[in-house]
Amino acid sequence: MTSASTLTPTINATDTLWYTRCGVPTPTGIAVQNGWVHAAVADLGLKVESLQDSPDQAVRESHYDHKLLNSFRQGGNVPAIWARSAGRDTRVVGLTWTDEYQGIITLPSTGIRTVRDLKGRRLALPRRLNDSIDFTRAQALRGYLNALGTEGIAQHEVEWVHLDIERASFAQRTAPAAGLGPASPRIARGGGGEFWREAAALLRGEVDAIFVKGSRGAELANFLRAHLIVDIGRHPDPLVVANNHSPRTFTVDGHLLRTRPEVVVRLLERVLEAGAWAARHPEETRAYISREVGSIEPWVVAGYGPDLHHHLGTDLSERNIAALTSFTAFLHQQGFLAGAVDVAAWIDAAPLAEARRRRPALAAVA
Amino acid sequence: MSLPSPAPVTAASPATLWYTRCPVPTAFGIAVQQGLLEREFAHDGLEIRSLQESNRREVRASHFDHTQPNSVRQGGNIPAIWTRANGRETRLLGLTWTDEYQAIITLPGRGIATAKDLVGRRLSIGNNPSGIIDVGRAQSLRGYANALRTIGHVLKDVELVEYHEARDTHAPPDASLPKGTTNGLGTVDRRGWSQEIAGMVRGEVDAVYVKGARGAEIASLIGAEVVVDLGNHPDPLIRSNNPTPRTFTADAGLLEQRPDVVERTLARVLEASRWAEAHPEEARAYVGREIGATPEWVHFAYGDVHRHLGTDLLEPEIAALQDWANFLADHGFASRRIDVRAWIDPRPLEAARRRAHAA
Repeated sequence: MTSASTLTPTINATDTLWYTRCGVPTPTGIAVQNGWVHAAVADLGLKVESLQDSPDQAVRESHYDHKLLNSFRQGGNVPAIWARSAGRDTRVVGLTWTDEYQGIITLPSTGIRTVRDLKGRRLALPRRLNDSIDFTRAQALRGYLNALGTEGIAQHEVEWVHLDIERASFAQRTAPAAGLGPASPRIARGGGGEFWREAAALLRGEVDAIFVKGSRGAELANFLRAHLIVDIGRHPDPLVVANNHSPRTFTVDGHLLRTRPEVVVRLLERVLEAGAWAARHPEETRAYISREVGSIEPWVVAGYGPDLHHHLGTDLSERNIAALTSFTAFLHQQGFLAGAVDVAAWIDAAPLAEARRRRPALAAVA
Repeated sequence: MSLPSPAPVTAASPATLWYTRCPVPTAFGIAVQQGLLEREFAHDGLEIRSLQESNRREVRASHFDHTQPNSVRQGGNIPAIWTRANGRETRLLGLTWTDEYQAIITLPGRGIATAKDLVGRRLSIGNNPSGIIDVGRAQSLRGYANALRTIGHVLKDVELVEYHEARDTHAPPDASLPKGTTNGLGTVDRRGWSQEIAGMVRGEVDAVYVKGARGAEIASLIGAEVVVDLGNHPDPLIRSNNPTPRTFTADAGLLEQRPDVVERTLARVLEASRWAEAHPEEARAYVGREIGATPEWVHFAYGDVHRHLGTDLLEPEIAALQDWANFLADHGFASRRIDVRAWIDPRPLEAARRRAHAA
């Protein structure tokens, strides 16, 4: 790429920069909530809009398939990797590693206590029939296989129970009835919530264990009075922890990067700033992440650890690249991708290097 | 302040004012969170302590049975009615009507669309003998009875399926749960309704009564359909339940000995509700901390909660409370019917209003 400092912004006032949020903890979420992203590109005449708030389903769907021009995304890596494998013109410009609860849970009545007990048992795998990218299935399979691997149990030594889900992830959902006040977009999106298909199968005895993650997964485990077989998110080996959310990818579309690298550099500056800000503001960070993920703060801590504020930096470290490479290979090998993805070739380190050059103090924090 | 100075603390007068807070939204809770009570009594040598802070189980249990002397309580009305029925000398000083999400929910495909479809069906009900009063059981039963009342039916017309609950409602907070609660009454705990919902998923029951922000969140989580929307029903008798109306009670000894303490407490509670009215967002955040819900769910489940935290003694609310108190006695949750009007002492609230105006 050309050195960012030599480029003149060419975006006209009608341009819109689209971003997408996942309801997961990211420094981008903090930067957006603080208004820093909007401020960063305002003088370039750019509007910043959220994909999720668009009335257009194709625009919303771009959250997953990254079809939209002038878009950036920091979130779960499965949709990003899938889009790249399908030939979408995107680049990874940063990676963020945030620890997260990844629970394999059962009901006390199954008698399963440890990972070893899972041999020969029925594990739930959601199967989204109307999504091009089935990230919930991928992340569950990865969590199970990594856990089983710690006890030398192979993929064919357990029984996989496929749980079909008709409703598409990006479909507009209706708000639950009987409220006395307005349903926020998140509540409206929440109908028949995350991991519930799996939880219902567990309650009906159709499966012996399910995979849940994050703060909402931890809350669900509590609601179900489940037994935690393992939280594979706590494993010391990052390659065993690596999954959809670890590391989270910051991706931009190639067109944006080629034509307006300045925009990308400025975004990354703000994201670095947000990571550094988080490290200095543990309580405020928990409050921001609470709003982002829709869990109260004690469950944010349960889902993302007490040191969450120290884990919102964005980098392209060897560890994060190795974890992303390992997880990408897993996705390809398990048939989730349209083709192989060369992670090294996908990464463009120049914008982050430029952002760090401009913000040396922040680079040290990240 | 311009009022006569309070009597000095003697051996006969209280050194500690005990209060108890439910994990429910009350102006009292706001007054406590904002330190209004501590400020009010800073120069009286009066310590303000929450029953929940006590390490003694019987003191914590007084949250429910109001046996602790020198205590005031604003919260769910079941414990207040129960203890009054048992002859405890308490006075009802104020009522607060804060409507919330109250619904009977089912799962899609069960063939239940309206209250009429509940007739002859199986409804879940908790049974928790560990506590002094089985609040969850009483409020579910009332929810079903009220839903049936809207179509001229009674509880006998449905089949109640019991779910035994072993959780000790007076136990200190579960150490395995994440920290960060404002009190020990289970605002973080997500296990409420789980057995009943599990029973519905397994097909053992057809419908479940849920309430509050957590009830709404569960309805959303499981993709439930609302059969009867009790929270939005126009008739207050149909909406009356443990949370509606919430009661402000004090033990009679305290009221006799130190009416000034009670009046000043009430005045601060009135002040807190006026503050809430002017601060909707902060009020939602407060309610969220109190009940363990995000502000989005608070807004959805409680609507304009900031405008509904005032304390008064209005006739329709008194009538609704009487109807509900009769229900509790008729179903064995209280030992006898009580006369709500005879329980009321309107003077402290009047005095508190005068103090508030004078302030």
